[in-house]
Amino acid sequence: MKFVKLTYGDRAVLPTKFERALHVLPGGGLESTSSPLVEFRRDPRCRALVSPGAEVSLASDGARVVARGHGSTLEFFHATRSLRWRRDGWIERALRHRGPGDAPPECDALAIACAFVGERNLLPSEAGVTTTAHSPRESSLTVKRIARDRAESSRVAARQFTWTFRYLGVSLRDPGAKVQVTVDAQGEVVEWLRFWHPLDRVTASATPAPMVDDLPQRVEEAFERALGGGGGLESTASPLDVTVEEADATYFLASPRVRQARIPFTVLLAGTLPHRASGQPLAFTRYLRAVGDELQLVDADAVLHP
Amino acid sequence: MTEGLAVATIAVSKYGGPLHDLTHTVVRALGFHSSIGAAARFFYGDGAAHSGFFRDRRVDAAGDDEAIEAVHLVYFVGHGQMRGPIFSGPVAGNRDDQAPIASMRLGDRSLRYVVFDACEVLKSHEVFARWDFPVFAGARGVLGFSSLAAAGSTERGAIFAAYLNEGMTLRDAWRLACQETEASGRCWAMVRAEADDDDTLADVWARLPTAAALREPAALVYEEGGC
Repeated sequence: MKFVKLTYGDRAVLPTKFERALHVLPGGGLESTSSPLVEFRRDPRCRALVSPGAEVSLASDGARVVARGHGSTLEFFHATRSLRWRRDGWIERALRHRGPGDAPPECDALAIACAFVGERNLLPSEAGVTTTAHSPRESSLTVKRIARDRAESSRVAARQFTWTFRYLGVSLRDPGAKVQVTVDAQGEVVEWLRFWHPLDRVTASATPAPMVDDLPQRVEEAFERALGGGGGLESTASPLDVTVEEADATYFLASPRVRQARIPFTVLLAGTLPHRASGQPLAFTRYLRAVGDELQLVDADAVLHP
Repeated sequence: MTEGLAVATIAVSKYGGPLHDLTHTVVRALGFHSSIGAAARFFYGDGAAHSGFFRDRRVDAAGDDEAIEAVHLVYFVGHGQMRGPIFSGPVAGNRDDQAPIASMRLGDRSLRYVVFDACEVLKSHEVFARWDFPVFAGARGVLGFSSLAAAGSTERGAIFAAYLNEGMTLRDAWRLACQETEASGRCWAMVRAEADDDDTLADVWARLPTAAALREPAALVYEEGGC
């Protein structure tokens, strides 16, 4: 007999009501018979970035077109028309520079990134798509150094701002849905990317409607099956206490290289559970498929925490 | 350009102990193994891999690092944790079998780079207490994650190999492959040995300095960025 006790933290409330319109989420099936290079030349964003007559070298590996010139590199991911741009060598310059105070002030960098995103019109504009927060998620390129004499230093070499999205209130889980801008110490945008699966070009039939009437109960049942079904985390004697620290309904968008035939509707659960042998807390992230008659484990991750 | 270069790919998927099995490990590892340009390629799966690969015999009697010191780059896919990569399978007696970072002496023969495609092996918290100078016995760098990493990615190995073959620096190849395959909350990381007369910042796979080991580096540099 196995037991699983799910405890939901403050942030972890499973959604139980969804917009009726969810069942028409378009997904997958981006049709194209043209070559990547032809698609690259047709794409209006690429045309705006690579002006005619400019000395730019183009190369294609089948999945993406790479345009190099003027000290920068632009990548065009053919399957989703996603883009990634970077100033060549910026990261090496940022790492070699060891002066103090070389990170842009946080507020200045955010303003620069927001202005850039607006000017370039990088955020998706499809109906129903919104950003997940008023401000983007911030991360940084952090560099720590230790010398032979044990002298240590640490600094922020660049700041990164990432926008993620929702469709009719449901998260679109990256890596396939994010816009990211990197600002260096001089306040210059040295890298940006726009990973996005165009939702306006596709049919709706591939993504079924979520069945949400009894979602919390179904999630708990699925989670128990996942733990007992070869995961090796089943408890044999005592209840297994699972603390869910984050719960969210998501559509999972894969890598920008992948043309998804369907966009799976999943429930994300993240938190901790006890190690069977030692009792130490294990961090976990689980994506549970949330449509159809069965909830199925589609991805799993757990790692020991000391 | 890759004449003389050798790689080893290690894929651990069957844990059978407290840690759950990983269903996408082998596909991801084979993507790297079959795509990387190298004169010699070795693959170690569940039946052959064990933590002794990363243990140095001078530090740990269980050390058996011939397999990884015979190549120039090792790509490990499996479970990980801040103290090191975790093995399992029949060689390890079907129990979790961790290779502690403290028992590693990387690069005293051929090895120059190790990639840990696993959770948290390069966690930033007190990173130099774990990744200290003795670990770098000739190796130039270690790539991995400071955060959790997605167990479900099947493509990362092939993308990383393709970028190395294109001529990107090892750092760029890894961080861009992670960017394409991880959620934005996750973080790639790298520890690099630094010497005054040897620029490890510019290391690319096809021109990897293999003749001389980078012994007693002047400094270690840790980098961490968002995916």
